[in-house]
Amino acid sequence: MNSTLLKKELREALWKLVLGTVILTALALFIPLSYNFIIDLFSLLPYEQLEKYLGTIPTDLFNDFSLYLWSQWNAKNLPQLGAIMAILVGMSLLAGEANNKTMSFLLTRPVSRRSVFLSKVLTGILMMFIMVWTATLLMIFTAGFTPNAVDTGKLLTCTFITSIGLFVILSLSILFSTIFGEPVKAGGATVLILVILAAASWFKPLRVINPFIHMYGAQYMIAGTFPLIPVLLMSLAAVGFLAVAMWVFQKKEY
Amino acid sequence: MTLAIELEGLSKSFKDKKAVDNLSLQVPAGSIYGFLGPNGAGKTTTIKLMLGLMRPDNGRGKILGLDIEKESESIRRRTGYVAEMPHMYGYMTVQEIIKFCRPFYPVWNSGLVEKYLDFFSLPLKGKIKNLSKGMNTQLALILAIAPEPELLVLDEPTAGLDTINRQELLRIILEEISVQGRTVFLSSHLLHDVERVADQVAIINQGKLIDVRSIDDLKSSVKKVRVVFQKEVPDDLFSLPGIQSYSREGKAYLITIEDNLQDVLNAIKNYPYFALDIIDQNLEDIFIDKVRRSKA
Repeated sequence: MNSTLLKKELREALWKLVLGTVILTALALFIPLSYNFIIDLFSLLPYEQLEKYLGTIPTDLFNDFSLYLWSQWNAKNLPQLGAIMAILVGMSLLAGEANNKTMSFLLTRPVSRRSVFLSKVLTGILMMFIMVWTATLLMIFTAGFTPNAVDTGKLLTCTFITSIGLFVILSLSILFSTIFGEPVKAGGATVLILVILAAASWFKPLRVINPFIHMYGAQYMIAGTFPLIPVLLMSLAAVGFLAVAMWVFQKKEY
Repeated sequence: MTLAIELEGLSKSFKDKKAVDNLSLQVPAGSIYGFLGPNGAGKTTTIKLMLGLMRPDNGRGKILGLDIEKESESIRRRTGYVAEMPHMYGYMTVQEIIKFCRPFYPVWNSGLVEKYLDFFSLPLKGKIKNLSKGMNTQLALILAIAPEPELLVLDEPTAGLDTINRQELLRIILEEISVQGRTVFLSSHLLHDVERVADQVAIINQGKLIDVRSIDDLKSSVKKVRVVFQKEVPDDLFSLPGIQSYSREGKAYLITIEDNLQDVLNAIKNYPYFALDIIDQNLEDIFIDKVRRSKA
């Protein structure tokens, strides 16, 4: 790994990192702070109506603070906003440099393509890690100041599962960023694939291919069973996308 | 003779277009080698193949004794490169791009960097995006020569520069690189620049090598002869070896001769004529003539 390259990548990514962390953190902090307000709001509704509006969601959700935090963070905001962040980060990692035509300047320095690729991927992973975990830890820290009990271990484990799901999306975005060499096309292709996977999961037998289903960590939060196979498969998929992306990058002409 | 660049049957196509077609080239170490060709001739593609930015479809090559496909990183460690349009990181300052490039190389001549930063009056704190085209090229040249490369590859470095900047750049090539016995590979379509500094030239068009010679040899071997005959001459006079082309207006002929001037002149003089002039060719005349003939 080349530290000069890594420093350059981190510098280029700094504003995205700061902006992403601020947005995710603001959203994460809002969840525990708004808990009492939401409970009060729903308590105004008669129980029958509450059940009508919430459908299959267990109505005791609002009596379990940790479950509430998970439902709003790991099962909703983090996968949604995190996926957008992962696409935005990944789509420009390689394509941005190709599009700006600085890639040929970089590749005429005595540096291997492998080093260039790995420094970019590591930057992307590091950015996602900082954004997701800063927001999550601050949410849990803030939740600790409320009178409600917080199951920190469960929330952290669920965030780990969500992070693996976001890693899949980031890797897919990096793969398209390598193939297309144009950030908008790379982002569009990633969104298209995710939409197809999400749409396919309307059919029960195909639910398994939708990363969003797995990244919520519902199986672990509700039933207490760690989804080992989905986590392993998502990790394998992410590593596979990156391996193909590196192969494409090694062959790519600039 | 030690070779700095050795290309053998190099070919590269983009879809149906052959950008480089079976190109073989030998550049002696220590020479200033002009690589001439019109726009779109395949000069930049050849350079990209040499530096590992592209892979050849066929053929092979060695730069400084290293394989262009297998040892590209080692080649780039010992080679400086200035692109036609150097796209550097616009958000960096001059100082920052120098700091960024320095760790990649085993050798870095800071004295040389300071000397030319001062000479070109490049603003250390100035952002690259705010530099003019000329300043960008000057900075790219500084970055290319700072690691004291054994081979300096310049792709149309003077294109878009004003006369003063062009002359300064060529002077640096002569003073800093050539004098120290390093090799310069200068790709250009600006003939005057190449004529001023190069020892040898290769002319390329439509991906194919048309000619390779020393500049002196090229200029002395290619002549035009203007002759006005007194009466009709047989057509087979113009099929003599060495006659590359001719044009006719009445009994006046303009003949391009290469390599066989004396024999052709002797043959012409066998026929009565009113006037016979031998016209010297400069590199530009020869280049244009060769490119036109290669197209035909």
